[in-house]
Amino acid sequence: MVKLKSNDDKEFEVEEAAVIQSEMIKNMIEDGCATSVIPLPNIDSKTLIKVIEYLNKHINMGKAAETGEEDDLKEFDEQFVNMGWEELFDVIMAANYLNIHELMELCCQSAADRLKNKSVRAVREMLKITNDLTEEEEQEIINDAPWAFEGPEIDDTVN
Amino acid sequence: MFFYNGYLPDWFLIEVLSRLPLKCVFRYKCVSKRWRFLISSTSFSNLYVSNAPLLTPWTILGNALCVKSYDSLLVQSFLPGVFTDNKLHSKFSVVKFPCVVSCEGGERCSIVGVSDGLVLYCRGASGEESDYYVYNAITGHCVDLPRTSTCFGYVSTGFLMESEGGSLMSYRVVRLYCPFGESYVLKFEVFSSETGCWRSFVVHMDLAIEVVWLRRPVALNGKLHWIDRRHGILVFDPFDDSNHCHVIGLPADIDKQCIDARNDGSPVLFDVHQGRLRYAEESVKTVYPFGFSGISVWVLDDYDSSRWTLQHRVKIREISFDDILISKALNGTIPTPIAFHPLDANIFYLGFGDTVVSYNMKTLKLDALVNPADVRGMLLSSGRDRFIETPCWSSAFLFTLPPWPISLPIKEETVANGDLSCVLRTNKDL
Repeated sequence: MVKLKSNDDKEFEVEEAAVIQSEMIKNMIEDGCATSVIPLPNIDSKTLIKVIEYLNKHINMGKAAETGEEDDLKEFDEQFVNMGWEELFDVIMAANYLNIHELMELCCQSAADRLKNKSVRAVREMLKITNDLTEEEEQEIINDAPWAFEGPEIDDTVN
Repeated sequence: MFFYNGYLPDWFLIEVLSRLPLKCVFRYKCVSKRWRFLISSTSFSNLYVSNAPLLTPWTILGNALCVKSYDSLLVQSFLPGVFTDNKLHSKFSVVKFPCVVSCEGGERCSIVGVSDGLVLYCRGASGEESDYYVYNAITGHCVDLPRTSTCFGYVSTGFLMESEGGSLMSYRVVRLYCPFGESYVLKFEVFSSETGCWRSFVVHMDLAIEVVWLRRPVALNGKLHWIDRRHGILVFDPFDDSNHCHVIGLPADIDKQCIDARNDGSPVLFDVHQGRLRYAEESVKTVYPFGFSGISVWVLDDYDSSRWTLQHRVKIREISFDDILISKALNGTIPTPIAFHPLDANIFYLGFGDTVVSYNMKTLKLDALVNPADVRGMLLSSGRDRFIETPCWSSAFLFTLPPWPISLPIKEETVANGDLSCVLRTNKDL
């Protein structure tokens, strides 16, 4: 078992087989630096619980393929990313810090799926981005590629 | 934390943007200065292009354009659509072209070439002067070429471009006059995007050439390749001013009947697959029961020494047919190969009677995919004009969109029009 500590001082025990999906922790264990508790100053306990949930489910990915549990895993992944933007960003930052490649892929793809075919206004609202382009600059971008701004698939909702 | 400050790290934005469709990427330049900067950088477009190969949209386009109304032309697409706004049918798509001409009085409009998301289409009956248009399927831009100066009878048209680092430098439209019978003299007319003019010239050959007219020329490495009935492949480089042609051999064991005057290349597919020339044929049976006896595929391994390798050979009895295809096979119908799958080296598509089928070289299976009658029915029910009854498989096109849009290197006299960018016709006749 490996002990992880979140930035709000909560400790979690995780099986080594699960936690080594994180390249960072795997390297620490290999270097013998994981004898006691591993502090994770960038990750809060709420996010860490999500990450551990993911790690536990994804132990022995190879085995899942053999036993035909791939569909189950796929369903888990779909459920897993069903969270708000803020939570998703927290998980992405944690996955980046811990270097968990599969989890990064999953979350970035989910972010991309949410932004797909949105209107510019919807993207700004979803990501709380303030527009700092002038009207002329915006018009210039539109004139350069008018084809990108028309089409029935463009969705102005923020869901 | 960062989220509340509106701060999203660059690596995250790039990671996400590189997974979005091209249209979204170009639209989201408008989100903020930072997004515009990230998306406009060359490192981003390089990353996007390197991620794109497996996502590149493609389809098979029929060559006949159908007039929908006075404002647009439609073309039939035989496989899942490349365009997102396909609302007519989930499996087929109809690609809309801007109509810069009115096709009245029995004039025909057809696609004569495609290259990297650009479509070359032509108006005019054979034997007359023709008008050519280049249409950019991503951006909707259309450019009309000056009218050709020569009247050839039958013409075989090639379209190819020269690009550097993902941007289009120049393109050529090549018309080769195809008289009946063989000839030592080849008559060409070439349009160059740099000069904006057509130029005619003749090439004298040591061998008598007779190109397989039904099969259009194939572009590879800036050269065009026509199948010749007797000697192999006629090669012409329109970017080289020396106006020279040469011939490279075909595999020795091809079935010559496939490219004789009667079959005219209909049972043959000659195209580029993953950077190499590939030749597929259905060997033809000369005695009753007619039909085809097998399928062979060669690839040109070494271009300079004309070394072909046989990739696949199968007898008809080893092929497993879809139920609905058996009767066609028993009737002696010979499928016409249409296109190689752009990504999967084992698959190519054929037109079998009125059905599109796929052939898998690994499983030796022919599978029926779509029946164009469905497409025709769909078009009729939506009140549109008729397409020709049986699609002309030998002149359909594999059409792929490039991962990053290219723009036409032409001083266009374009007028951006709210909905659809189109070009006002200008009289640039020579």
